[in-house]
Amino acid sequence: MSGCECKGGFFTLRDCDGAPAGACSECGRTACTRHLSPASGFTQCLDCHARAEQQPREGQNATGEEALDDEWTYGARHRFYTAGYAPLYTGSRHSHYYDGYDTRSFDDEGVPEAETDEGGAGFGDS
Amino acid sequence: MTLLRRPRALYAAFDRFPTRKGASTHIARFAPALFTEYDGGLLYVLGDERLPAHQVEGDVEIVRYSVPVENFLERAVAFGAHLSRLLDEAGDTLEVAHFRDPWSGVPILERERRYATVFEVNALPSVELPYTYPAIAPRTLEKVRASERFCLDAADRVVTPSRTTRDFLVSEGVPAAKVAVVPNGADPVPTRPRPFEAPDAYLIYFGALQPWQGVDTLLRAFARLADLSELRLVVCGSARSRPARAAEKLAEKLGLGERVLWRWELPTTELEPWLANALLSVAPLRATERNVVQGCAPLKVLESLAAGVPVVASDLPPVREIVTDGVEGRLVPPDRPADLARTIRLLLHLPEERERMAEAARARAARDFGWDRSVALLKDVYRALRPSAAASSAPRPTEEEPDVRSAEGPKVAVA
Repeated sequence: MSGCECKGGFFTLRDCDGAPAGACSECGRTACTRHLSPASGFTQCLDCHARAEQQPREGQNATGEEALDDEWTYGARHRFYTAGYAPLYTGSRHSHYYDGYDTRSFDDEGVPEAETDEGGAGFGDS
Repeated sequence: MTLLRRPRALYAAFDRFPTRKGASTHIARFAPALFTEYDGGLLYVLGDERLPAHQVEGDVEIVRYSVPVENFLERAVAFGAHLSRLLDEAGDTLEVAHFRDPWSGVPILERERRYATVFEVNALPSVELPYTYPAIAPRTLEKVRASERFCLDAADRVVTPSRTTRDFLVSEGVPAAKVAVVPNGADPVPTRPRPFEAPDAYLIYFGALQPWQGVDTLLRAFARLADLSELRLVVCGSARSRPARAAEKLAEKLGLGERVLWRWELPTTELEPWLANALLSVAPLRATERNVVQGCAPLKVLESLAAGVPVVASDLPPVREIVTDGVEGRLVPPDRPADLARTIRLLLHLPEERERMAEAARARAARDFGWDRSVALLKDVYRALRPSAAASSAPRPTEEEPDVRSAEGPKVAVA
């Protein structure tokens, strides 16, 4: 069995290469004790366990909201937001601050985010 | 349960980390500054399919939000929602939370909390998003702006790298006493051997190629220097992006052909030799709202000074904070290819002047822009927060700001 195949490092990532303690049941990579997830009972690597934790639950969207019929939601929210009030963005899983009308502004022309200088994220090179 | 530690400090940024971008450099300097003050902490950033979603490095725990949500806004909200879940785990032990954007800031600020908060404003999405998404709806932009205002109002301190940005924030109603300027930094770049494929004489542009960077102005200026047949322009882009491909097309259209060398995503160890051996570094920032009103702190200019390379840059307020015209380089009117070409030509004919500027650039960078100095200033901000942290722990909403939550979420009246 080779060394731990999980990545370590802060600004530069490289293979950990620590003493192997097992293999991840999800990705099959060899992992040391430091890179096996206690929450998974040491059966998954930290990476795989965290990715699984981040996935939306069944019936929820990526923000953790209950998935509703899009058209109904759009209509209801549009009526609500045009009634003279604007909500304060909470950003939480319960947030209804942004709606389908808002997200449509970000439906790019099919260009993957990685293709833009935004890198799919926040600010560019300042 | 995701977290393995009980962090006292959180640094959150809706940025992929690490990458070759300036934002990454910034995070790599500032997050450790926070963590050394609090014996470690939690770094929450964006990931992708290659970067680990969860790491522990010494006292630092790193969580990267890695769900591939295609839509930018949905991704930003999902990023915040996951941060909210992490705060459910970590909120009790946190003493300070530092964030770089409203996508992180709102989940941090909206909850009842005992931790102090620092909003690091390098740029605001409401200013920059229209460049990337020109069709963004005004109502959506107003919502983004409202979330930024909420963060600016609710955060205990605001830090920004530029005096221009500080003035902009104050003009937007942020109390001046709340804003601290913590400049970007650049460490000295040692002399490097010339890259083997480097031409004898070249100008350099490096960094990202968003529209506000003005690379089109540089290409048009360079086209006016066609008589200098040995001169080359080296463009080291942080990503071969859509605007980068547009720049390549423009170069082709201008007939620049092999006079422009394109290099992409160079690691620092490869970029530094290109920079250190350039005759001049050009930062042709455009006179846009993003650069002029909001402000910026261009790392490319700082790093050029630190490498002892004279800079030719646009004469804009945030650039004037870093470069004095005629001392470390030359400042030229923005968006004027003819003026840029003329200034470059003049400096190319004055090697002694360039040498004098190179020395001044190194001295200025060492005196005013070392990362150590920036980190020390940031640590001062954290230390000043400690005694007042208790005072800022008042739960939200307050009596003066009654809770008006409904099933649709909290509301405030539109003025």
